[in-house]
Amino acid sequence: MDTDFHRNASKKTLSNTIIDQPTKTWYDSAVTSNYKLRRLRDKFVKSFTIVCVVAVLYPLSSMLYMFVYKGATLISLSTITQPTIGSSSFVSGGLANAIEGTLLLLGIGSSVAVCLGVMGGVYIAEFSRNSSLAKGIRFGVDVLAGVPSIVLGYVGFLLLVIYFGWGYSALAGGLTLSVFMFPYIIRTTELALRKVPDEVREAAKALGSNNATVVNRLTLRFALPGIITGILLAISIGLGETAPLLYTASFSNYVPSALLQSPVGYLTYVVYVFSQLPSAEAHSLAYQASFLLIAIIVTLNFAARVLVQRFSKVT
Amino acid sequence: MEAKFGFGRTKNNDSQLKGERPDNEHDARTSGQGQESMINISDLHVYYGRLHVLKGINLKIQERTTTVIMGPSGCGKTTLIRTLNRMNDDLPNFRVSGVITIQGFDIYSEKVDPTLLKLKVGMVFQKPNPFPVSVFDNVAFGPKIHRLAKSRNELESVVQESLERAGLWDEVKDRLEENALKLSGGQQQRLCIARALAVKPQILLLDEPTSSLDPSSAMKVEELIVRLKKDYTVILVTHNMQQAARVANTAAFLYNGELIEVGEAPKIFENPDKTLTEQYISGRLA
Repeated sequence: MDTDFHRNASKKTLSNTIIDQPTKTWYDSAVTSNYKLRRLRDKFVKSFTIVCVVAVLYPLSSMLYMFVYKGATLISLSTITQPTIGSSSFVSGGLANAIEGTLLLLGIGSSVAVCLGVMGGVYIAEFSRNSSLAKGIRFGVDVLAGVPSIVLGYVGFLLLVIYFGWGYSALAGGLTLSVFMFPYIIRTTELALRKVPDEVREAAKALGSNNATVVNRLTLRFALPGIITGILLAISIGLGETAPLLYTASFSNYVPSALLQSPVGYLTYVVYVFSQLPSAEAHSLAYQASFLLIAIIVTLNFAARVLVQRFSKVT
Repeated sequence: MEAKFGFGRTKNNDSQLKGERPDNEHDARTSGQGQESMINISDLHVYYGRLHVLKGINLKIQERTTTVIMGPSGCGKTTLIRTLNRMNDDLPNFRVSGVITIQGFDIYSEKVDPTLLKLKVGMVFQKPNPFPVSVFDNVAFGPKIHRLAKSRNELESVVQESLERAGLWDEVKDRLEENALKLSGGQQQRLCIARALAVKPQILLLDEPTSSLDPSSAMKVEELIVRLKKDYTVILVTHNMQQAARVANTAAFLYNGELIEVGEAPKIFENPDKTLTEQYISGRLA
């Protein structure tokens, strides 16, 4: 053994002197030193991070548990089929109007946001990646993403409800929502398109597809999973927005008769307002609305993940 | 025709056997100084912004010859061939002066549609870049976007013909619907060549087509290039001197953006005029 050899060697020379001390070899240092301390510190940091994560997850999970439990027990077929009856403390009935209203507002909002967002993303990713216009768009989009939703709601109120004269309406609410969802869609579209390698574009160009539409036929196909994921996430964000809709769609117990001049009900309003009303009926409706919202958001996120996994296996 | 390893090159046996053309005319054709040239580059200067990349290139390329463009890295070879099919148009601050004519037509004139130019001048890149679609769709891409095939049958026969010309048909005929990325590197490169051939170009630009391939795949691609020589005008950029000697009729040596020497391949490789050329051939230049 090497160590023994070295020990004996050093012993040999030292035995010439009177004192016979074993000298330290690398092996000794490795075993005794700070190793134990370092291992302990490692374990401590690891446990600390786990504790932090649990501390954050606890309120989330207890919240989910409460709403899912309460909501699931309270929810029934009438929630979906019956509209809300009465107002303020005397509400009762179901959430049919709010559900339809949410779908209507989201429908308008996402159609507009998807069209403009995807086209915008295609423009800044494919056609003029480094132009000053593209840089300006990116900057503007980042700023827009940071604008508080209530400010957007206020702008929507002043512009669409008052100035254009649309009144509280599905269109006003939908458009304000679309402005809110737009930055997410344009950013994820650009990211998804950027992932397609440039060599594929070069090859397509060398075959004479300078026509931008044709290059898009190729790159858009492969960015599609990423784009759809972005859309699903933007929709789930839009679902949870109250502030932009408070001043543009107001609330209504009825499904709107027209796109203009007629207020729309939506689920987040139910949660916001009904939870503060004194009656038990109102609280029950608020729980049910929360449950529905959480259920839809969880489903959307799940669908987004499944899509990503499926498409990354194919290509 | 056996290829020699080393800088020698076997002469084109056809002309000797047939005895039809006198030697000097053959020399004139392959040394690029003939009258009716396919590609005529005259006084070409290329700038990227203030960077003067190509300086006064004068080159004539004859029909159905293989010209190899050699030179150390960064001397402008890739820029030169990309200028020939207007692939450089999208690059920022790209400026070109001088005249490049193909069959007499100035390719940078305003009347020329760059898209249609690419139908005439095809390009294959260094790293194989098949589209992440099926083998069939890869080869069919060009004909589809230019609407060259009028029916599905015609499209299928174009695809088959291109794959046969690229020597890939036998290997993929049962796998046409498989994703092209599943092919080996050498097969992918031959697929890219088939894809370029599908639009029936007359000129092929090959930018170091074998440098990212293993030796046996490289050999197959080289044999393919030798077969293609008969029907297409091939311009090949390569670092591999042996490959150049095996494949080329004409050789051009580029150094630092200038065309140092051009001439018939055997002469350039065995007995070049300029010292710089000789240094490069013997490997004494970077």
